[in-house]
Amino acid sequence: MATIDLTVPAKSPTMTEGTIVAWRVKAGDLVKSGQVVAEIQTDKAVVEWEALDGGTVAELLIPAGSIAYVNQVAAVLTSKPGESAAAAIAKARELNAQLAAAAKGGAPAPAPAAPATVVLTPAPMPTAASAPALHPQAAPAAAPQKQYRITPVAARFAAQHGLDLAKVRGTGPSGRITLRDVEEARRAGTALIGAAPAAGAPAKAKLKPFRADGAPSADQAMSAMRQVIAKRLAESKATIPHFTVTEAVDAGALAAIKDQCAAYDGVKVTVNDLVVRAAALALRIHPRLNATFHGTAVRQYDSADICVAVAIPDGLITPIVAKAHAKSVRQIGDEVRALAKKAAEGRLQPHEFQGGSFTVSNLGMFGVESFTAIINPPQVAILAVAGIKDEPVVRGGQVVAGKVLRLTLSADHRAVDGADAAAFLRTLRELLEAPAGLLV
Amino acid sequence: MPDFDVIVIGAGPGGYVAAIKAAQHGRKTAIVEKEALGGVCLNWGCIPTKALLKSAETLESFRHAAALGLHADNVRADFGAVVKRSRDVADGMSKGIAFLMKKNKVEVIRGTATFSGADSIVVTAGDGSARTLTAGHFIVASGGRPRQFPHLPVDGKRVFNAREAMCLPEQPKSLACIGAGAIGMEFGYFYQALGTQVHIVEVMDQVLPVEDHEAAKFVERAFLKLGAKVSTATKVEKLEVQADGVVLQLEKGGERSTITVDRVLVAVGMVANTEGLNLDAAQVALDERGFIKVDDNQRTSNPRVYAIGDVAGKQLLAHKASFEGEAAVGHIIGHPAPVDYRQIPGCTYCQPQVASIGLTEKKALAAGKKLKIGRFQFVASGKAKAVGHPEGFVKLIFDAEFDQLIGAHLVGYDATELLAELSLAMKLECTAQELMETVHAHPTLSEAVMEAAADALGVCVHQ
Repeated sequence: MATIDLTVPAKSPTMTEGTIVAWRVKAGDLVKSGQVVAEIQTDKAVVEWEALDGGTVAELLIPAGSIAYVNQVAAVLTSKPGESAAAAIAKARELNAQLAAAAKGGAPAPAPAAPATVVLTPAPMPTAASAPALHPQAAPAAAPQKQYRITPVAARFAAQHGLDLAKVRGTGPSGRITLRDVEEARRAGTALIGAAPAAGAPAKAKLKPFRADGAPSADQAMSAMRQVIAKRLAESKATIPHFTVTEAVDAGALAAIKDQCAAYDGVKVTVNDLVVRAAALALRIHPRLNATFHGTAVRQYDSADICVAVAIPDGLITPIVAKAHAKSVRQIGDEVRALAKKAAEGRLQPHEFQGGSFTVSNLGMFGVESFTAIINPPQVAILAVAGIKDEPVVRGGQVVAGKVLRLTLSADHRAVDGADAAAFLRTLRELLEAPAGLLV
Repeated sequence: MPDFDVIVIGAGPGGYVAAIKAAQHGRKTAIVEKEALGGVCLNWGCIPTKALLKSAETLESFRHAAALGLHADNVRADFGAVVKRSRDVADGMSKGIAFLMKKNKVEVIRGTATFSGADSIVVTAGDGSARTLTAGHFIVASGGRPRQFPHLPVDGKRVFNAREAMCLPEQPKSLACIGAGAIGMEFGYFYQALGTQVHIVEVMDQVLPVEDHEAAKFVERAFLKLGAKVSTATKVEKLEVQADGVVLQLEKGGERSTITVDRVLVAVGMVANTEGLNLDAAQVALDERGFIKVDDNQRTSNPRVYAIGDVAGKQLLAHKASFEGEAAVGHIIGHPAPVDYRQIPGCTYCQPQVASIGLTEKKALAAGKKLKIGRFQFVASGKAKAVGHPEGFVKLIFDAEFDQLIGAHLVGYDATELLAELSLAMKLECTAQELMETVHAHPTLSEAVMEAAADALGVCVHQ
C-alpha cells in the first residue's frame, strides 16, 4: 500500500546539492534499511548514501551522473514488490522540478513538507540509526532527530520505556506507529535502545554515534519499575553488611549432562536449571541460608522457594520457583522458562515474584568469569552464577584441560557467618561436580 | 459459478454500506430487503426522530423567544403536520439509498431471505414467488427489534414501541416512557416539549444508563425543569390497560405506587432479527443472548457468512453497523480492518443533547486507571451565552499515565456535533496536550473542548 521516497540527504552541513556518482541499486531491487543505495559527490567528498527505510525500488528518478538537490526525491520505493507507485512518482517529479527551479534561482523552494505518501520526513542530516558513523562528513553538529509517524501517546510510551522507534513496526495508517505497536515491541523486547535483536544471528556490536559537541542528551525518565529497583538495591547495598565467598566448580560432568539430556529426546536442560536444583538441595542441608532477616529475628523456611533473576525490557524481576527442593530439574527448567516468558510479557502475578527464600542470579550466558550480586532483601543470601570456562584443572595430580564454573555467594553477615557460606558452597560444589544426584 | 460474489441480507445502515463497499471493490453484489431501503435507522429510527425533535426544539425556542427580544404569540404545534414532515424526510432518504444502489450497480432484490444451505438462500417475494440464489459470501444485516416482556404487553395502540411512537394518529395527553435509554429520552423530550405530560421510568439508578453519571444527572434535571416526571431505580411490575388509561404499578426500593397514563412507550432493550433466516441450514451459530456470534472480522461460524449491525450484538448503533459492514467487506477482499469497539461514539438528541465516546469516569476507575479529568461549563463560553444556550458542559477523561484521551462526555446544545473532534483525537491517540494546543476558532462552542483539555492539565484559561 505504501510508497517510500528516498530524498537526497545533505551529506555535509553546507551541502545544498550533489551529484549522484553511481547507483548501487536498480528498479526492482529489494532495499533493506541501512543499505547503501548510491554514492553521492558532495561539496567535500564522495560519500555513501544509506537508505533509512527499506522497500522495493519502483523507480530511480535521478540518473547517475546527474545533479541532485537536497530534499529531491531520488528514488521511490514501494513497501511490497510490484505495487504501483505511479502517483507517488508523479508527485515526486513535481517536487523535484520545484526544488530544481528554486535552486537555480527561480521560485522560492516549497516547504519540504512531506506529501502524504512520504514516510520519511525530509531529515536532511544522516541520523543515528543510519549514519555511517565513522565517516568524517557524517557527524554534523547537532543533527536533527529523525522523525517518525507515531501517535502522541505512543511517542510518550516509547520515550518512557526507552524504545528505538527505528525498530518498531507501525500498523496504523501509512505505517503510523500506534500505542499497540510500541506495547508489543516492549513486550517482545526487540526495540530497546541498544537491545540485541530478539533472535537470529548474534548481535553485531553497533557503534553509537556520539554527538560531536559532547553535550549530554536529554534526560530519560526512569520507569516506575526502574525507580523501585534503584531504591531497593541502594537500600540493600547500603544497609546490609554483605560478604562474598567464591568457589570454583569442576564443571566437566555438568556440561556433559547438559549434552546428554539434549541427546535424550531433546530434553533441554540448562546449567541454570541444574544450579537451581543443586541450590535447593544444598539449602536443605544448610537451612541458615534459606532464611529472611527481620531486624531482631531470622526466619528459616522449610521450603526452598528460589527466586531466579530474569532480565526484562526495563529492568529485572525475580520470579519464584516455589518448592524447588521437591521438583525435578526438568520441572524447574520448564517453570523458569514459563515464568521468564510471563515476566517478559509483564503478566507475572504478584505471588509469582513476591517472597522467596533464596535467589539465584545467572550471567553465564555472557560467559563472565565471576561476579557478585546484591542481596534481595529480606533474604539473607544470593548466589551469582558465572559462565563455564575452559580452564586447566588438576585431576589426580595432573593438569588437564577442564571446565570451570565459578559461584559467588553474597550473604548478610547479620544473619549468617563465613563458615555457613563456605559450607553451603562446598555442598553445592559436590552436588554439581557429581551431578547424577541432581537427577534422581 | 455462484450467482453473486456477495449477497447482503437487509438494507439498513449496515447492509447498504456493506453492499456499496463490496460493489466498489468489483464484487458482483446483491442486497435483499423485505421493507424499505435504509432499514430502521432511516425509516423508523435515527432520521425521522431527528425530524420530530427539530419541531420540538423549535417550539421550545419560540417559547423562550422573549429572552432574545422577540415576541411570538399563539405558537402551537400541529401534531399531524409535525409527523407528516418526519415521514416525508424518511421517504426522501430512502429514495436516496435506491439511487446509491443503482449508481454502484448493486442489485436490489425485494423479498424475504431464508438460508437453504451453507451457500444459498431462497428469496420469497411479496407475491409468493421464490428464487434460489447462491453467493461466495453472505453478509447478514437483518437488524433488531424491540424486546418484548410478558408483563409489558404491547398492543401497538396504547402500549407501543418506538415505531408506533413516531407516527401516532394523535398527540397523547400523557405518556409513560419505560426505559430511559436514547429512545425513551428522545421521545420523552419530544412529547413533553409538545405539551404531553411525560413520565420517564428507568430501572437503573440514572437516566441514560450507559452515559457518564454527571451527564445523566444533568439531563435528568433538565427534564424535570421542562416539566417531565422522572423515576429512576424504579421497576414497572405490572401494566394494565383500562378504559380510562393505562395503569402502571411501580416499585422503588420496596415501595409500590401506581400511575395512570394515556399511552405507554416501551423502550427496553432489543433482540436480534434471526427468525425466518433459517440460520441452522447455514450452520451459523448464535450466542447465549440470541445474537449471531462473530469473530473480530464479523465472520460467523460459517466462514462464508458474515453478520453485522444489531443482529451481531454489542452496541446497537447505526454507525457501528456501517463500520462492521466495512470490516466484513474488508475481510472478504483481503484487507481486514476490525472495528475497535472502544471508540464507538453515542449520541442522544433530546435537549440538552448528550454525546460521548470511550469510557465513563466510573468505568475508567473500575478498570484501575489513574485519571486526569477536565471539565468546562458552557456557562463560561461566550458563544454559548450569545446563542442563548449556556446549559451543559464538556467532560474529558484522560489516563494519567500518558494523558491519553480515553473518554469524552458532552452535554448541551449541539453537543452531538462537537463530538467528532474527540472521536478523531481518540482514533489518533491524542493526549490532553494536543487538544489543548489545537487552535479553536473563537467564538465557537468547540472552544469548550480545548478548555476542558487545559483544565485536565490544570492550566485552564477561562474558568
